[in-house]
Amino acid sequence: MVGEVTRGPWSDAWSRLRRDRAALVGAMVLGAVAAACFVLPALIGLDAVATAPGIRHRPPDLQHWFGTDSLGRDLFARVLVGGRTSLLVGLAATAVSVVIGTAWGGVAGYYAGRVDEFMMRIVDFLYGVPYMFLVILIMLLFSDTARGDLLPVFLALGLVQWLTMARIVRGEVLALREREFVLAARLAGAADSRILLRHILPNVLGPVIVYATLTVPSVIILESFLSFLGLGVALSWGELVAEAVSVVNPIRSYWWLLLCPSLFLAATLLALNFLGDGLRDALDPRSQP
Amino acid sequence: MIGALTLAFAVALLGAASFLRPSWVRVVGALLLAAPPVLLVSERWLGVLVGAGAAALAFRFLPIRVLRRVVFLVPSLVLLVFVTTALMYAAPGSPFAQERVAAPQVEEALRAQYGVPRSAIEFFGVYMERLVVEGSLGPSLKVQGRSVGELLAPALPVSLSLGLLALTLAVGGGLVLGIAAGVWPRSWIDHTSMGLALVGISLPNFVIGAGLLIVFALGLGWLPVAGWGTPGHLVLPAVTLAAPYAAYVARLARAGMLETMQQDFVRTARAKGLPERVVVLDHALRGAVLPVVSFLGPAAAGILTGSFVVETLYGVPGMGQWFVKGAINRDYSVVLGTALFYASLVGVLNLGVDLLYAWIDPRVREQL
Amino acid sequence: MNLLEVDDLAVAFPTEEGTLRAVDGLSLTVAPGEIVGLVGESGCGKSAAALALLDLLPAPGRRTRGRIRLDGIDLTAGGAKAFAAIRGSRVGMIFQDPMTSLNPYLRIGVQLREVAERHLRLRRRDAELRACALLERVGLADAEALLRAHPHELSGGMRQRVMIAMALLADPVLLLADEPTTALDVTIQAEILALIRELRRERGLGVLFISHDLGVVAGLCDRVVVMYAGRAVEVAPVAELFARPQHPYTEALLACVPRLDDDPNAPFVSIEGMPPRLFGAARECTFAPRCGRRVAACASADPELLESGPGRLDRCIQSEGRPEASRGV
Repeated sequence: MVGEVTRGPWSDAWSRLRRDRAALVGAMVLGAVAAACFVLPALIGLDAVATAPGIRHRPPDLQHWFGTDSLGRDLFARVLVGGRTSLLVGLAATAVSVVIGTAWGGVAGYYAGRVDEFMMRIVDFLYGVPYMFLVILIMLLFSDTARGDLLPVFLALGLVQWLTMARIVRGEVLALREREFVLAARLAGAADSRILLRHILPNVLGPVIVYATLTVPSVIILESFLSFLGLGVALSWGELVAEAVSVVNPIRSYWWLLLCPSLFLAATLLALNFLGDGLRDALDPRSQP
Repeated sequence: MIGALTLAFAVALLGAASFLRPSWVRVVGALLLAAPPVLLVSERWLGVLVGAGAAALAFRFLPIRVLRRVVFLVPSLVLLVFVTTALMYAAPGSPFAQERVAAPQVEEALRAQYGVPRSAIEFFGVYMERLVVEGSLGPSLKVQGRSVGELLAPALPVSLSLGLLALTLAVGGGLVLGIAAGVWPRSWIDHTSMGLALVGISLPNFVIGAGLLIVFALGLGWLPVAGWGTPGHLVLPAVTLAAPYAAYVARLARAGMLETMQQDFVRTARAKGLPERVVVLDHALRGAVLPVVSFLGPAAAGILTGSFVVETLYGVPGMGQWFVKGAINRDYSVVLGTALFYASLVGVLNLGVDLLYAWIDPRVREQL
Repeated sequence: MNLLEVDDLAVAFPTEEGTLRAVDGLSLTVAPGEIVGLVGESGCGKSAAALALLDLLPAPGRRTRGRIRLDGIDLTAGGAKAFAAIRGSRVGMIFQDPMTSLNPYLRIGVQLREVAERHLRLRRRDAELRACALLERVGLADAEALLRAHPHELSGGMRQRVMIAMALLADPVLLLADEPTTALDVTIQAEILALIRELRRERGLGVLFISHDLGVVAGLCDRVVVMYAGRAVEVAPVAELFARPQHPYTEALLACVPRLDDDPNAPFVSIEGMPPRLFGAARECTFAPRCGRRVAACASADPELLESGPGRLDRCIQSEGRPEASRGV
């Protein structure tokens, strides 16, 4: 309307995001949790592995803020160190899925026609495969490798998530390639790769970011499933919760074993979901109620 | 040989599903639908008769989209079997070399007896031949003297009932919460529903399950802790399995409702003087439900995934347990049997979702 | 007695930049059997006014003042219930885009008969018969088959006819038409307008026809209300308005319409500037910044709508024959 200064879509989105309190809180919580997990243990000198049979199953107290577990290990330290794994897995697997998915969907959407048909049929096919099957099988494949090797986990989980990313990117690219600025670039003689990289990709970035932010929680939850089934490779929140669940009994309740990692897990995932929702509303104002 | 041929055939079918003309798709799809009766019915002639009848009916009446999905499903299953077999063969260990180091001749004998060749593609061929010709899933490689069919049969109704109940709870509960939140945005109903939904998507289902266990089973004693047998045993596992999906559905339904309520045709309905209740239920609801229907496919697949964990948590004797046991023990046939079950289920459910979507949105029907 | 009387209607929308006054004191009347045109640029508030007449303003918009009387009954005093009682039954409304205004998921027959079932308490079969009759009356052939069709199977013109049938099914006395022909091509436009004329003749229907298209209004309406910045700036019988416009805005609008006998090389005439968005009370004539006849006095006070001839009202301090008479409504 009259008199409004036009700003670029990115700064528009940024200002919308800044006004979304839930997203801001989410971002702060995320930052706090990440800082705690990666920096705090070294800073304070926490030990996540030392067992101490004498102090098993202690409820939280001043010495052990989150209590101790079945082997007398400090739960606070374990939660923080476990957080590193969970967060790393979330980020890395999401990164894998973003790279593969964007590339696949971008090519399919850009070239359209038969190429698109074929590539998306493969996606449809893979979609119908119960992927947890394959993930579990892959994990078993590598169960003999050194514990703590996270790479197979990244790959396995990333391979599961790229499908939806590919679909989203393909949809966006299909719509974008009909837009005038692509036509103009083609007429000016730009090569396909240049068009893809400089014109189309930046416009796809929005939905990709949103979906990536919402994928990380899914991946963290999937990793916790694996840990629960005994296929985890490193200490993570999922594994801590699995341990807690395994000692549930009607006589003594070790509530802190379940509550503390769950709280961190829930807080992180909630923060990611708020952030993702906020990003989505900021980048696509039409999706607002 | 057979293995390679079958693989080639499956890949060809996959390509056919994408590139064939609609009339050919009809033919192939109808033929494929004839296959199950022919395979499964013990009296060959009866099976052929039923199969022919089914094919004719399918060719005449089923929408092309359905037949295309059928054409697509069959090679998908075949390829799934192949990929799974390949993965299992690539993994260290074998069915016959687990606890003790067996003498090579013993292992060879066992391999011959059970029909487990040394290469993946040969096993694949044997497996597919046995499946198509005899309609059998083969013998279990670990449980002496029992066939996979025998082992999995009792687990089938367990997993089915758990899965279907969870799906119903997820969709039903999610829809109610989501639509209510959409009709009264920013009210206490909205805040409560969305709060619950956030919890549902922010925790792995076994954490929710453990919490429910502690409160309802151990604490209040209303429900059994684990096992199977009574209707009471169904409750906690189904709710646990359903929770994250109910949360997703609620969010989707709310967003769909909000968007639909802003559409012009809702304004028209109000301008016609219809009471708000009619406007919401008769006019706005369909638009709100559509995104949920689209989500049903992935939701069903996700419930299948989650069932492994939930069955483990509550000690439910379902297919998931067999899969995990089979994978750990390298019981190839059991693993393949469960894989086929899950994949077929997802395929059939996706088909149902397609039909449901078309029923709700008549604009899609032409494409069918 | 007038069919519709709108007195000092105001509609406001709270926005981030303040409270936007979409309608700021609109008054008009529609007599039984009269077609009144409400004309203005995009953004002058005409659609908001129409929605306010049926209490259909989308939240957070709301009517902030004004009185609306239908056949003598004060709707504003009666509140939401009064409006609900007349919607669809005594007042029908048709909208601009028939594609999005019809429910894509339901069959035409369902959307039609629910009006009759609800307001006339007809049973399903009777409602369908009535719907068929009305569909035929609005010029659609094969009505029975149409009942079973879905909106996307129809063309734009057919859909708009369906909307008209839907609005008239319960035999209302007033029809609100919000730019019904804007989304249609010209030939269909002519047919729809002819249809409205016939229906008015047959049923004594009063019509409030909202449009930004002067040509359409000239051909259809008996009286015209010209709207600017949320208020009426001129009201006149249609022939008078086009022959002797009084308000500078009306003059400017008419000058914008290209004519066949214009010099083909002359540039198109347009009105400089853009319509204002009102956030507070106007302190000057709202059209003054764009007015070609602006004088010093125009910036000091907000003119009122006064009688300026038989059956004419206008809001310019410079118009002739401006007696210091009572306010015309």
